[in-house]
Order: sequence, then structure tokens, then C-alpha cells
Amino acid sequence: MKPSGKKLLCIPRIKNLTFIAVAISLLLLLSVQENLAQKKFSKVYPASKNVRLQLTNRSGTVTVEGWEKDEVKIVADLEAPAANIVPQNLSGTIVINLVKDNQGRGEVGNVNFTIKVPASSSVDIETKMGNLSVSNVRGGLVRAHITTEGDVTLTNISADSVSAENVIGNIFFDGTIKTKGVYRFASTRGEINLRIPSNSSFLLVATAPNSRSISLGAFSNSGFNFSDGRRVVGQVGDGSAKMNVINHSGKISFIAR
Amino acid sequence: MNCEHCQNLLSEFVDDRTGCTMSAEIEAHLELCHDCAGIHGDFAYLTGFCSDFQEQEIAPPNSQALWCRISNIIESEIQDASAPPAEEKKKQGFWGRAWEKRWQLSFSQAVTAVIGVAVVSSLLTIVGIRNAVRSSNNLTANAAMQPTLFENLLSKAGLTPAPEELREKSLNEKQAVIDYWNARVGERRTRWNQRMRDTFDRNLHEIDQVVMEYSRNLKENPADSLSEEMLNSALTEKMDLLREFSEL
Repeated sequence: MKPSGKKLLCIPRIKNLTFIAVAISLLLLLSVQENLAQKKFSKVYPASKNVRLQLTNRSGTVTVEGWEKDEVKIVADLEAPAANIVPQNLSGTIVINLVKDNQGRGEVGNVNFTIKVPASSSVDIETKMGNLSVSNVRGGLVRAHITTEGDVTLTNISADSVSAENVIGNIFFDGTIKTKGVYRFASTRGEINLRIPSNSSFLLVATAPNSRSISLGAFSNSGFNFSDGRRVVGQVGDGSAKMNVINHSGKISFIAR
Repeated sequence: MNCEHCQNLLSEFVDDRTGCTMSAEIEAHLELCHDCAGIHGDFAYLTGFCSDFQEQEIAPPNSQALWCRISNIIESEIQDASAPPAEEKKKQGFWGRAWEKRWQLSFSQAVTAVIGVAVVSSLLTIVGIRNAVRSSNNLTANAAMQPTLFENLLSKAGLTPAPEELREKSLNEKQAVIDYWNARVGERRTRWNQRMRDTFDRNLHEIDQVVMEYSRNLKENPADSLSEEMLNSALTEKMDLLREFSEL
């Protein structure tokens, strides 16, 4: 029995329609994937040894590392909806301000920065939320400020002025205390751990009013005044540097290295 | 005896220097002559008055009492001339009357007053400098926030506001700033995504918790300077949080 002519004509037509539908679906999927995929931003600036990096992020992590090259390398992963990034090089200062560059935009995705700077740079970074990390920097200033929550990690730092702040999150500092340096660490809820050389000299005011948990470790000496446990005031060595630590509802710990 | 002769002798007659005969003649004429009798009357009155006045002048005066009277009269006249009317005086207060008063100080009193003014002004200067240094140096301020005895005395004397008043004023100012930024954030937050809104609320709540804690401590112990300092610090953090999120 011969198949009817009508049926022979229908089968290829169905196959064609299926192929077109699959093709369209694939195209749509690809375009969606492209939208969802992270964009990448990368730029390199020649810089002097004492360049200053000033970065203001909205949300996302920022990692800054010192290196032995006289240039600043900025790499950023931009989550959708991708933020605008317009870095500026203003007479020795690299300025990146995502708040200003994206003012008025409702939805802006996280931007995760990895930045390499000359080791003797000054670094001033802040974000509304997200972790901040700075390592191997020995310039005049290191400042890491989180407006809300996120951890601050400062490793191998040797700067005259160091400041780290957040509301919820931990702060970790591992670095040296320079003569006549000024150091400030402040958190509302989290842990503050400070790892410094055992021969450091500084004048300390550490305040933890609610937890009353201030551990001086090897730096504890008879000259410290603990009063009612909420605050410790005292001097280590000649006290040439000044250190102010405030943790409203968390612990403060000193670790000698 | 005629009138002319009689009147020439009247002065001597009044002084009782005429002889008996002459005196009898003059008396006889005076009885007859009305004019001469009038003149005699005048003479006699003047002589009597002069003799009375002479007695008074001859009486030894009490010079101290006299000078006292004179100076009293002069002073009262000067005061009457220079003093404002009673109503005006009433209107002038204590300071007005003190200003009007003539200050007569001895040398020792003047020196004491000058030394007193110098000491008070020096102390006020020291307090002012200490306050300025304290506000410019947070680290030392953290360690020494207790008011000094002198500051306490000044506040008790009403010369400076009490610490509680100052704190209240400072908190009110901060609260006004917080209200302003809060309103700005209220306008903006609808544009944020859900994650940002949640993060903001969570962190604001965390700061509010510590603000409440310090406020409670201060209610229980108004002299707790550490809680006051921490309350200020937490409020500043809150202001910063609101201000920074109002930019988004």
C-alpha cells in the first residue's frame, strides 16, 4: 500500500517548524545569557610611586594589592545591570566614583574590583556594602570605610595613617605601627582583631562599652587603666603613635607577632 | 526845747548818756511832740535789736555742729539738683544704681579688685583653651571627658550651661540633622533594589540599638561621660549612614 501524498508533504513541514522553534529558543537563550553574564572592565595607568587611589563603590568587593610596578591596574567584574565606570587620573590621584557615575540609576549590579597599585601608594577606598581588602601597601594612608556591612581586611600594611570602619562585620589589621602614626578602627557589631609587632609603641584608647571584651594579649601592662571594663587607656612603649579602637557591641583583640 | 534840738540829743538819750536834767527835758518834749516821739521809738527799737543781735554774735558758736549743718545743707542741695526723679530711680535696676554710684575705693581695695579680675579672666581663658584642645584632639578627649571642678562650679553658679543642658542641646541638633537626612532617604529608597533596602534597614536598626542602649545608660546615670561620648559617636554614624544613602 502506497502512502498518501498528503502525509508525505506534512512530515518535512513539521520538521522545519521544530527546527525554527529550536533555533529561535537558542537565540533567545544566548541573548539572555549575554545579559546575565558579567561584564569586565580593565584599565592600566602609569603612575608614580606615591600615587593615591580613591575609590568609592556602591556594592561589591574591593581588593587592592601593592606591587612593585609603577602602574595602577584596575580590573572590575560588573554584574548586571552593569554600572558605569569612569576612572579619572587627576594629577597623581586615580579617582573612581561609582556613586557619582551612576547617580539616579535605580538598579545597579555589584562591581567587584581587583586593583594593583605601587606598594608605596596611598589607598582610600569605600563602599556602601561589601568586603574591602588591602594588602602589601606601605604608603602614607590606608583608609577602608564600609557604610553598612562587610569585612575589612588589611594585611601587611605599613602606613602613617590607617583607618578602618564598618557597621556590621569584622575588621582585621595585620601591619606595623609607625612612629607618630595615627590608627583608628571602628565597628558597631563585629570583631576587631589587630595583629601588630610585639615591640610596637603606641598610646591606646580602646572602647567596647557593651561587650566589655578588650583583650590586650602580650601588650597588657600595669600602666593600663581598665576602669569598669568598658574602656582601656594606656601606653605601650614610648607611646609615640596614637591608636583609637571602638567596637560598640563586639570584641577587641590584640595579637602580638 | 525845740524838735531839732531834741532830735540831735535823741541818740545820746537812747544810750542813756544825757544828764538827768536834759533827760527830763527830752522826756517832756517827747510827751508833747508826736514826731520826735516816733523817731525816739525807732531809735529805741534799733538799739534794742542791735543789742540782741550783738548778744547772739558774741555767744561762742559750736563750730563742729555749724560745719555739719553747712555740709548737710550743701549735700542736700547738690542731691536735689542732680538726682533723677523718684520714679526714674525706681525704673533703674540694681545694675543701673550700681553704675550711678560713686565708687570710692581704697588702694588695697582697688588692688584686690584688679587681682580678682585677673584671676577670673585667667581661669576662664584656661577653661576655654582646654575646651578647644579637647575638641581638636579626639584621642585625649576620649580619655578625659569628665568636667573639671571649676567647670562644675561655673555651671552651678549659672555662668555656663549645665552639662545636661549642653547634652540636650547637642542631641537635639543631631536629631534635627538626622530627621533631614531621613526625609531625603525616604524619597530615594524606592529606587533601591530589595537587597539594598534590606541592608540599609538592618544596619540602621543596629545603630539604633546602640543609640537606645547609651540613652538608657544616660537616663540611669546622667554623669556617665563614656555613654555620652559613645552616644555621640553612634549618632554621628547614623548621620553618615543616612547622608551616604541619600546620595544613591
